[in-house]
Amino acid sequence: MREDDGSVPDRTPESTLGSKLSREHVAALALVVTVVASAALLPTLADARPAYEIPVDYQQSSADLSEPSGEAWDSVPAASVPLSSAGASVPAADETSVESVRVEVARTNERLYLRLSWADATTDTSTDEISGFADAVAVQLPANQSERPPIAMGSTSNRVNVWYWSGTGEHEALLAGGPGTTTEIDEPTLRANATHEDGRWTVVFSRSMASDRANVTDVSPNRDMDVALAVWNGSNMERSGRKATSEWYYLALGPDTGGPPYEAILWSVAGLAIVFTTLVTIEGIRRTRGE
Amino acid sequence: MQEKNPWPTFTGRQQYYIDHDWFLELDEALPTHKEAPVLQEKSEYPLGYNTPHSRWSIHSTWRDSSKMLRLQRGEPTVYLNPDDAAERGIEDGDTVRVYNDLDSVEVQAKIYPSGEPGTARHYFSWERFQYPDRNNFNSLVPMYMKPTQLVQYPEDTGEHLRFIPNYWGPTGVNSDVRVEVELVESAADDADDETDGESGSVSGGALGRLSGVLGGDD
Amino acid sequence: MSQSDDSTVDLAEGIDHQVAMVMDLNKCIGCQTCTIACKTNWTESGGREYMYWNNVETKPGSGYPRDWEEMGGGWDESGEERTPGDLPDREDYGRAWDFNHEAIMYEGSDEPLRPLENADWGPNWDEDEGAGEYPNSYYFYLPRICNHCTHPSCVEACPRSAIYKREEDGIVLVDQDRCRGYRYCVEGCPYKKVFYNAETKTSEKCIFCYPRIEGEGPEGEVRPPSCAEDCPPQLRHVGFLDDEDGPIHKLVNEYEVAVRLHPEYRTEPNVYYIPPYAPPQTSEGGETLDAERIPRDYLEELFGPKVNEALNTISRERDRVRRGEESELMEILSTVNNDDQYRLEVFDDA
Ligand code: SF4
Ligand code: SF4
Repeated sequence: MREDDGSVPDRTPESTLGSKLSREHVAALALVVTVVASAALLPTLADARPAYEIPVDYQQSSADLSEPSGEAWDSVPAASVPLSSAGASVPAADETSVESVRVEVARTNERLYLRLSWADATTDTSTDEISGFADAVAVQLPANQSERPPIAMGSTSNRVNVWYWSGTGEHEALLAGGPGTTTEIDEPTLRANATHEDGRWTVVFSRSMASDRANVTDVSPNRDMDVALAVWNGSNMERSGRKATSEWYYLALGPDTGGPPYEAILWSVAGLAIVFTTLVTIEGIRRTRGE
Repeated sequence: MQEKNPWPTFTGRQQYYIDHDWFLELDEALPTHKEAPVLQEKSEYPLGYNTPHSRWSIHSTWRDSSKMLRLQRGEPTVYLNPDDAAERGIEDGDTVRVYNDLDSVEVQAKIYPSGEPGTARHYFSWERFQYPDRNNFNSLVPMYMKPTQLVQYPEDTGEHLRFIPNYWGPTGVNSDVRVEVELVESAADDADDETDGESGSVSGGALGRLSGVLGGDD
Repeated sequence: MSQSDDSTVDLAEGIDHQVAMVMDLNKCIGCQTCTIACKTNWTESGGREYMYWNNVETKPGSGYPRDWEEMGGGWDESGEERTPGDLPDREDYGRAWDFNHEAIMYEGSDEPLRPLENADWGPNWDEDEGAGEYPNSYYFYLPRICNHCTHPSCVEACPRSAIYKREEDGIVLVDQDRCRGYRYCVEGCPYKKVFYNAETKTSEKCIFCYPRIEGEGPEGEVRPPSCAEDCPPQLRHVGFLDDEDGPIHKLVNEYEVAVRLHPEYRTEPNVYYIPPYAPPQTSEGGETLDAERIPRDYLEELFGPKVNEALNTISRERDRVRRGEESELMEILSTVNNDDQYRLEVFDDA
């Protein structure tokens, strides 16, 4: 949810609290944080992201980001996005099988890369049999960014773009204005690559950030961007509205504007408490050691 | 007379009486009933055999059409009454041998509840190349040869009777043929190994068979 | 020859006219000419090889695709909720076998002509089998096309509205540009008359030969669908349900002798059947018995309870003819005049 838009205190290197502290301080701080976190008084740092945020890692060069197993992905933080049946009005819409998808996002100045990975033991890559459906994944983005579109494929007045990859090896860019309206659009800059290893699909989508075409999402490097995900398990006869979908998430592309007030306050209080406790502790240790 | 043309008979009229010497000698100067020779004893060949015209082709035209065969079983079939089949341990889809003392054809059994018990119906006009032994539905049907079919009448012109294939000459007579049917391979075992042409069937070529029928050697 | 639009015939909402067909099952000889006519026109290649938009199956029998009557689809009793349906397997349809003609004709093979793959089921595999025991066994042929239903569950099933009922004549078509091959229509049609094309990745179905009825057929003439026109015994009437002067309206709505196949599926088919008669049962000794050969329950199972009145009406009218009286119904059923059988140019706007 956009209203929850917030940021992790240490999202960018410049803003780390640690930069103002000595090495020793940092080590001690880390120790304290771990202790405090394991006492469950605060969420862990990994979870310390606002709900619905998917971090975006900026990289100078595209390197091997388009490869599902590219090394450039090693430094990209991951988010785990829960999925549930879309509840569309198709038979057995509730019978979906994939429960979450792991998402990593990186960008260069030119392109946006999304790496999606989910567990699916069967590789369903063919639609050649009458009852054969292919595994698939899709990324949904608002076509224009004025107002968040309805989650189920947008609406006639607020459309969405969908990047769709299918286990048959095809990928397409689609435009939709409500359920059942997806229409293929020409989007030559969209690419997808996939691998299936150890019972998991990993698919990398990438597309040019900028677009000046009507109905093709323009991804701004300075502005957060709504995103929703869907996964289909072919061998479970999932297709169309029989799919596991996420709620709206957002790609944290924009500047650090801070989270919503209550979250910011909570974090500030927690942060100050940590700093204060740490400094007191360090000072205590020093004095004990007689430095 | 028909449309002012005389009939193509000796007298120019409809004519049943043939006063040719051979006809007189064989007592057939007028149409006459004679008992048919028994070629296959019922005890040995219990099933009556018939080869009706089918609705899947016009004679043999389109008999091997892929499109039409897909709407059948893809190969020649013999229709058997369920009891007759059961007595012989035959199930629908099994490969069977239909045989008498003339020949043996290998076809697929189709169970046909409307078939009269004691009959084997093998539709007409399958092509030879649809049988593993390159014989066909007619291989089981004797051609009776009669001396009267060799005459020319009147002797000088043959205007009334002379040899014309399918009109005057030996023809298949297929209402008194008897056969037996036995299992070759059950559909259940057949999996996907194409039958390797169990050619243990009677062969010996058409001439050999014909002479057999005519009782030349025994 | 235009008719007023205040017709008493129920048509689907938003439909101007409704094409319809009546097939007289008493005349079907199972020759499959209709099947081949349809196949040659529409489904010969391109992933359609296995499809029979028109098929003729032996009843009783499992039909095409195998046991389609047990696969669900259609509507529940309220007529508002769809009943879940199954997707048939390729094996249920039967594969379009290729044959070794090439090897035999050109390469000197002495193998017999056979399907190149294991052939153990096909669209007409149980042809002529039927049910019952000699001499009282019975069977008849049932030609089937898409029924271009008034309340089509295939249309309702599609989440993309890719399958639709054409406004001008109620023909049900799949928009090949909208279809994304989800196959909900295949599941949803209780007659299994929508087919998935694995090459084009879209669903396809009988189009009631709409180019022919629009006059785009041979010689630019308005022609009935090929399955009707090519039928040797000419057993089909083709026209509009709402053509109140036409034979279809008379057979369906006035005499009520043409009945729907499986009315309990509630899709309201627009293909109707004159139910089959068969000679009565006979004793072992060949005497005629006072017992129907095709059990009435079986016909009810296929055509619903209306089949009884339909059969009674036909017997009554047949007796009238035997007594030397006139019967409009028997005249319609025994016409040999194609102009009476095919009435496609009755509405100015259709
Ligand atoms: S028969 Fe099936 S495909 Fe045809 S209109 Fe009716 S429901 Fe649809
Ligand atoms: S062409 Fe006519 S008679 Fe032949 S199978 Fe079709 S409907 Fe029956």
